[in-house]
Amino acid sequence: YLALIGNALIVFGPIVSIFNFYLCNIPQLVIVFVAAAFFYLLSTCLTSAFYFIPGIVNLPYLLVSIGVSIQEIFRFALFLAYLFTERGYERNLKVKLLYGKFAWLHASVAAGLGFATCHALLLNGNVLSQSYGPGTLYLPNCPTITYFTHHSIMTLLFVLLNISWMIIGFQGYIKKSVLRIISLLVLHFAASLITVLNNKKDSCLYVLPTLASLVVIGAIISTVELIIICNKDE
Amino acid sequence: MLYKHLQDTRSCVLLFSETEAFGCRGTIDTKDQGVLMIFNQATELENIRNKTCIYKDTFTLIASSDFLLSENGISTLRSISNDTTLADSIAGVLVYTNGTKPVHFSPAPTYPNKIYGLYPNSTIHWNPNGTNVLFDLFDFPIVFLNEDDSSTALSKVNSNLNCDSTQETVEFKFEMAGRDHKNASSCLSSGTCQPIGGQSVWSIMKARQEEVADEMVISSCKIDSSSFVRGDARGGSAYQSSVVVNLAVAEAISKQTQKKHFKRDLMFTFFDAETWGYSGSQNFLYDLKNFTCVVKSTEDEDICERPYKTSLAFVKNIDYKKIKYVVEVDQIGTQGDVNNIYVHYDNSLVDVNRTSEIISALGSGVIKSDAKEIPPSSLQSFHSYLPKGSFGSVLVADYDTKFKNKYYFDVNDDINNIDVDEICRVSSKLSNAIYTLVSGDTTMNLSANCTFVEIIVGCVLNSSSCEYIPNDSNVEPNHYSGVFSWDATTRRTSSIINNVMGSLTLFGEQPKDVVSCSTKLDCPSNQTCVGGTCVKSTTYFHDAISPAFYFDNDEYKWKIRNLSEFATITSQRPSIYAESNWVSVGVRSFSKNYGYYEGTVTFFGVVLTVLSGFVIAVVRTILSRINDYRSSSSFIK
Repeated sequence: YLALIGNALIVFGPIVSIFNFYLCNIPQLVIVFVAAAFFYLLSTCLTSAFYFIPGIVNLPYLLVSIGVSIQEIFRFALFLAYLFTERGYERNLKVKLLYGKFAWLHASVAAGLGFATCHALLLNGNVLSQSYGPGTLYLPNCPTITYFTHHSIMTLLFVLLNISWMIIGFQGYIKKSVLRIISLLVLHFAASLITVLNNKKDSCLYVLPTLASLVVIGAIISTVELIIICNKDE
Repeated sequence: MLYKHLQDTRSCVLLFSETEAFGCRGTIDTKDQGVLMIFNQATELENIRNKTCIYKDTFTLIASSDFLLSENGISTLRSISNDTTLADSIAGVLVYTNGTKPVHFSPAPTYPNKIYGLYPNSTIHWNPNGTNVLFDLFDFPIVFLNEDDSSTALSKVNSNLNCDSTQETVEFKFEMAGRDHKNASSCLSSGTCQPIGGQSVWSIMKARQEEVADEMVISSCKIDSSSFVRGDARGGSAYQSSVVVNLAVAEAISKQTQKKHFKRDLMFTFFDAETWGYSGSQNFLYDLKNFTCVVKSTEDEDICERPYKTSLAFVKNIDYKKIKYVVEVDQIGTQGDVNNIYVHYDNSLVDVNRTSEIISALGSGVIKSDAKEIPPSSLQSFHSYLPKGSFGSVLVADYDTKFKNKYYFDVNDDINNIDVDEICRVSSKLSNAIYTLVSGDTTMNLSANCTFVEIIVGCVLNSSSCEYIPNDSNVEPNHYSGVFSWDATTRRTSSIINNVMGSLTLFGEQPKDVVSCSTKLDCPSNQTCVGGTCVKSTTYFHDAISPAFYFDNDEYKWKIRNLSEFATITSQRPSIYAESNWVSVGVRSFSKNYGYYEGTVTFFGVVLTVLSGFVIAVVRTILSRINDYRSSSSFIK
């Protein structure tokens, strides 16, 4: 069971930490987190419908592009739902949903974590269950680490990416910033399309570093957003 | 694939005798998986143990059947088993086949059933190729692989030899419930094993339908076999050849409708579980001499409830005192250079005149064996239960003082080990002899039906379906009797014999309404189930379980009698054999990491979790200093 614990901690350790130390004391953020997870689930269900198209599984780039596009649509839909809720809350109850200049940042982190958690569960849940037991598996795409560890590391990277994408996205939608939205789309497409190369021999030598680089880029952009918010008057 | 389950594996199981356990003990949780290492010589074992890259001190040894099923291999296996330290580090042994056949091999003893026969101190080695490995005890499972899995397993061994980053490992799920017991008595009392037994078949062709004739002729054979792996009991020459001959004789004689020529009753007996101390013949003869029905069934007068018997026909139709001629068919037609027919008898036990009559009826072309003793056979039961000198007896076989069969009780004793033409020839000879004995007519020249012989050979020795079993499927022939059951349908060999003999011994007017059945219990009284239909026939099953066992109806379990009860009935020691219950049997292979890898990953996961918690706490502090973080959580300003 050590493999199961270790790989589960790699994926869900950061998620649990963020949830525990950042979100769980604020009920509104917990609701945003859950709603975001549900929106991600809906996007995945819609994407899965495309798998019924004959022959589409032989066009992985097309399939991934469709999936990314649908996720972005649902991200925007989530943003609209949050906006609608916030405005309705203010209009009817005469109080704000969240206070402080970082309200939108908190909301985007909660939403990003919701997307990331559902993504992690769907992507890694089945793989993690297989890691329980004495057996292990090495694949040609990454012969130095086990399939389970490789999968967990990739899922962790996507968890971090999802949070940074949601921050960029929410800021882009609030400010109607085309640059931010385009950056988001470029980052998302790049990260998703690079995973198509995972079936090549020794691909983890370039896929994982590429994803890690995108995480760094996302983190830098998110930090810049944070700085911008800090400097803005409430 | 993460786990590969090895299919169609055959493994040895755990059995018990009166005094000891033998076969293969199951796995225990602490020693059920081991790194795969090849060994084809005894010297390789120390090299395996000294490999420093092996993390766990348990191994799964893989060896070829060529090596393991040889004297050298058996000797090595025994030395491993006797070395406790070494045996404790073996999770199991896999045996792969490379398609070659040994020159000779027999897992049986050199004198099968010696202590249960008439000559417990005999020095004859009937089975000179015998290694006795059937009765060894191994503290680990031994599993035989099919050809596909053999090549897969061999390819995985190489990475272990090179100390690659993963260990190719094999795990055994091989739970023998009776593992902790030392003998049959202990095991039975705990309910973790069952007595070994089967179902014998007997048929009677009466001289006069409603009477028992003054004398009876018996044509007998054994029907079961064994093997190191119980599922590999092919039993070609030993003893399906004798089954075929006995059935062919019955078929030839049954065509003689003018049975008014019969002056003696003729009975055919097919004894099951003879491998296990002559259980079938002992039970039959014990019941003939001793049986009393304590509680009869109220629904069918032919059934006894206590002790349970599905048919009491043996009480009504057989008087043991009238058994005057017994001819046993032993191994016949074993492949070899020369085909001879030998007759075996013990002058000190038989009625000499009647024995001469049998030999005379056999005609020319038979050779008297040089052995002074009868070979291991059901005849030994007849001579121990029936009065000395009261009947003539002869055993007919293709060997003289030692078995011609080089693969006695081995998987290679299959259809390729017998000569079907020779079996047909001997069947014709025996048909004439038996007919002469029952009718006194020496003018008839009976021939066995060779087409019928081929069909029966196919039924008992081929994996294709048999026309004598309704809805039969393709099954690998296996003639191990297994654990005892009153349900005869669990014994395929017995079912085939019953259906053949049943169709040859129909009598009187058959029922107008066709009643389907799977056992006799589905049929009206005085009818038996033959080929799935209730008919009037004189073919019956008889329990083939050692008379040493009895079923306690109050405690609902098998028990062992006080063996001193038998002293007044027979000079033969009754056998006690039981098979452990097994919970599951399966083997799977997989790759396994060295232990430090998983520990490293877990450590990394813990560090990551702690680090992310620390980072979040720092970020929260920073944010709350920039803006009052707590006020964001307030519903009301």
